Amino acid sequence: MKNFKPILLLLGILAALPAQAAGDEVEKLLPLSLEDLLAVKVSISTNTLQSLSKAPSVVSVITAEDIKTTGTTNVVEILQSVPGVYIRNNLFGNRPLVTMRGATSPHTLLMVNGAPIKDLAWSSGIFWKGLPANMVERIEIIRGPGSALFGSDASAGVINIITKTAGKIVQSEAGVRAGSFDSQEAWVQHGAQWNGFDIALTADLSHTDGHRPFYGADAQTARGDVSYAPGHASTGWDNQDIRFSIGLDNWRLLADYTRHSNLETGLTGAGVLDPLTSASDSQASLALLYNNATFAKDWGLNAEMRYRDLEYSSGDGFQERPPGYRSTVSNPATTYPDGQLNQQRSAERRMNFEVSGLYSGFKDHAVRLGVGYVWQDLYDVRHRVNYGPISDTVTLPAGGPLVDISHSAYAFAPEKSRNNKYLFVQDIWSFADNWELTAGVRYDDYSDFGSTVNPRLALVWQTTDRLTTKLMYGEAFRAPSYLELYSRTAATLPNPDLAPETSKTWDLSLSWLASRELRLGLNLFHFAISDIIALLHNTPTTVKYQNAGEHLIRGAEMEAQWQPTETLRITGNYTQRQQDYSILTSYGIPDQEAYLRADWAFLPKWHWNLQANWTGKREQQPAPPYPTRDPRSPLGSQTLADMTLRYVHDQHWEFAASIRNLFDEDAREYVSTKSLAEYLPLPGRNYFAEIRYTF
Amino acid sequence: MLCASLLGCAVVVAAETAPEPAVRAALLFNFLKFTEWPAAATDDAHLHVCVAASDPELLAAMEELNARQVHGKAVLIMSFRQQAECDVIYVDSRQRWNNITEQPRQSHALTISGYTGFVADGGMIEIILQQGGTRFDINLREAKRAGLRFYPQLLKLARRIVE
Repeated sequence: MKNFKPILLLLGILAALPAQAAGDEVEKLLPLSLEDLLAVKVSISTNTLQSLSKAPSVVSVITAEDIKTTGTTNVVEILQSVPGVYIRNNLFGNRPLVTMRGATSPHTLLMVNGAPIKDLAWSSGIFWKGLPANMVERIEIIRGPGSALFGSDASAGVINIITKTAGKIVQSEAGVRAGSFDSQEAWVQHGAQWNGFDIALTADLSHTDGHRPFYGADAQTARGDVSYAPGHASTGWDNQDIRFSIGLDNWRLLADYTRHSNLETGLTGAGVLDPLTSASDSQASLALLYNNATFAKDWGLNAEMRYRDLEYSSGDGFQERPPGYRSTVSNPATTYPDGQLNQQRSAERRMNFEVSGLYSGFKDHAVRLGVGYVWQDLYDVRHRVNYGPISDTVTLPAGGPLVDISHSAYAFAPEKSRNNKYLFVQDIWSFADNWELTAGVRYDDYSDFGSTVNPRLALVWQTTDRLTTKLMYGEAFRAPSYLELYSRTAATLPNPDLAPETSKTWDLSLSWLASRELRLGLNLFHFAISDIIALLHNTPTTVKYQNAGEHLIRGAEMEAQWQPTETLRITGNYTQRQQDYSILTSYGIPDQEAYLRADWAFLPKWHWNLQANWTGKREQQPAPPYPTRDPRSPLGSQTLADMTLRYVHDQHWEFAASIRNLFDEDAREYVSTKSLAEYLPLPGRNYFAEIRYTF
Repeated sequence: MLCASLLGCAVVVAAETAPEPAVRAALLFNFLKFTEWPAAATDDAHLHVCVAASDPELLAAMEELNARQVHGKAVLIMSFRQQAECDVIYVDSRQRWNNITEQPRQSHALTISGYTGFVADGGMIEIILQQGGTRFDINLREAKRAGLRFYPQLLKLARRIVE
């Protein structure tokens, strides 16, 4: 006989709430056969993922469904929907720099399948242009420090883009898309089982001419010299991306190849129009991953081995100054008939190993212990210039040919390797009902700058069935880059004695399931960065990378998700930050941001999405601390809205159309180059349409 | 043929996307249909489904299964307690599973979870939710030990079977 009287679930908790929605959903699924049920697409509600609500961090997840419904064609676009994330378009190459919590992009660790995208030569992933959205299964975002687990760069946050790999592709798909700016894209994804192996292949090809912003004047105009302005900046690029994976039991092998070509950089970093440069980069990577949750009694084991080769070339560019450029550095002034050319190529490789074990043999504890080794080698640096100093005593005369300065102290980077050994341990201790304490620490030893230790603590309290409270503290670091350590130019000096930047962050996070229809979240943070590496004057004419000082950013991130009916969902968030205004401030990242999104399945086969990103005003460099005030009119707030309509015709065909920048807002990105009065104009209203075939 | 496929289409499209808790509940119900318990093990009138989870939405979805008939018995959803006699245990995390297995085994309970590594941890059915659809792994060894039998329809659809 049963000796226990069943306790009906949710008694009293949900009694007051309409149970209709969940009931209808289950009711609808029950008549399906198991086979049909397995084929139903699951909308994984990020907030119900157990691992998320209890994660000892502030975590957001973007699903493939989010990516599709918002008309995202490149993952970078949808990152902006996460509170605290701001994508800053870079003047040079129109590269999307991913920033979090008001700090510059090097303070965010950006990974693809757990491997950092950064490189030695430039440290931002060279011409990283995001990833084709169709290849992505999920994006996980940790707001706040992550160095205690992930090492360098994880100060403001960690973003991990997870691609569709073996075992994850249930249906094969092919699609094409075309849109404004002469953009075309084609993709295919296929998953299969073969002799017990799971196999997956995804491929994506795309071309765009880019939005070609117009500049009435550039840095050349400002100095009264020859100029391509007024004129358009070229921003086109081609992308080829192919990813193969194979899985068997606990093993997975990922092989990826990505190439960007005909990549037009548009403007130089100094704000000079450069129609010549057509650059390229490519990377090939291999990863062997092992994951066994029951390796031995009480032990789970993870291991990984990765290799990446990355190459880039500036092609015939970079054209730093246009033909006919008149230099007034020397007296009398000299003219460069071919302009100033700065041709760069480099190749580098990275290899890493990591092993970690999860021990669950202690009652109420889960302990993870890991060790790793990363080796990075910038093995080929080619540099040719037709101007400037090429040694401490020789400066090239104007009008001469290109001179090879590879392997000299004036090359843009040294051929050099760096390695990093690390150890980490983390314990999750469930010390009472509804209480969990996570304590972790990681030790990193770098071959160049030395060692650093970064701890973290997180207390998670399931306050009530509907409220989760988290209090977290974490320290993080950013290893100095090759540029900062070793790269010498005419005006900037590197500093091999740099220490890493460090940060200390406090977070208080509340997540509240107000009702079944409404979820609310609030997160407060206090983020203090020390030893910031900045270019400061060491003589009146030269600047040198130095550990300069401290910077404090405080902020509040608010989120809400409201689902009033089964077919309508509204989500939004608002971020407000406060930071010191000093020489270390990253101007151009707004103090206020908001995001609003509505999803409406207004008919069974139709889906409508509207999203809007609001960017607050961008502060201008004040004087002091800068010698002169920015003469340009300040950049006010702006709203970029997108609308996407999707129609699922049957189980094979699906159609979508999207309008980006729906209200044709005259949006600008802040750039510090003061001679660009227009800043960086962002694309006006534009369109695309796509067709998908599933088989 | 055309008609059948159109109908098929209609159903698939209507159910195109479903929320995760509802899918878990519906899957659990299907697993009950394809599992046979030893005759002496269950009581005559009820199939006791114990849920060890904290997500209110999942609990609400599971509750929708209450009183539905499987093998001529009514499903009874209850929250998990160590002393409870459960015919089915649904558990949401490794931590809860470790707590459950610390106690003397629920001798004949069918165990189901969605956390990664559940089958390896001695669970019987591990649900793998993905954007495109769902899969599941089965630990036949554990099921046999508990005296449970899975129908071939279920085994046929499993992604992986541990024997």
